[in-house]
Amino acid sequence: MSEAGADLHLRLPPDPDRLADVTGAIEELGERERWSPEFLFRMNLVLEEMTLNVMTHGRSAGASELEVVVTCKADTVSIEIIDDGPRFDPLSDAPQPDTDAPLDERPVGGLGVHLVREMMDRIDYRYEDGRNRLLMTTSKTAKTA
Amino acid sequence: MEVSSERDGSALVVAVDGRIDGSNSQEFQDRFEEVIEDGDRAVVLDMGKLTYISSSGLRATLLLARRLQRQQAKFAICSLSPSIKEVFEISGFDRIIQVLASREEATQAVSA
Repeated sequence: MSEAGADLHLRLPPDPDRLADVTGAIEELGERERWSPEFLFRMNLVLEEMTLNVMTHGRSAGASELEVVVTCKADTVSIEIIDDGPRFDPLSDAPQPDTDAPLDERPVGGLGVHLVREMMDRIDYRYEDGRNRLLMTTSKTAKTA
Repeated sequence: MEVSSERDGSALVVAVDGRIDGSNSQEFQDRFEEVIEDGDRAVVLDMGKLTYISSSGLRATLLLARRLQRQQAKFAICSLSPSIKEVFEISGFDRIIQVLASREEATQAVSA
């Protein structure tokens, strides 16, 4: 994806205190693009889940930079999250939550990636030039769970 | 994010408004725990004015539900927006926590 044509391009340290920079920027973009509140909610959530992963786990594993690239097309939105931490594929390396487990046995982790999988149409992970690149794309038309 | 609480008969009704995300989910959990008394057996969480929740907030809600289960309290959540309802459904939370349309229904359900 060409970062030059991006509608939103953030480069920031992977620090959880910077989460509001990411969510604030997507809210502004959503307003500009006239997204429905439901679509903005999903994009906000997808961005939070995946950037917060880098800001916490990635950072403690040695990541020093996080990039967020959002590109809006007529019918689709793509979000790319790039970091320079050790190779980590959230699609295969994150634990799968058991969404059928009863309350007292329900694991407390792994939900973020599960939500993102359900909310995006396509997710591709690659590790290139020492960077994790997670590219997620979805159609702007309502996707029901 | 604001947490407020009131008592409706024997039920503790806690309302949260604003956003619960990775930056304040711990604060939400702490504020909620502060208002629960050990003797509470009926608790409602009203999410009618909540505009956003991510997995951090779901995790906090799960831990609160477990705590309430340990003290044998009935617990229900009510008034979810369509987006928050979707998040609950995808996570399977609607199958482990009672979710009702209105505060009245939820209060009735936990007080029964």
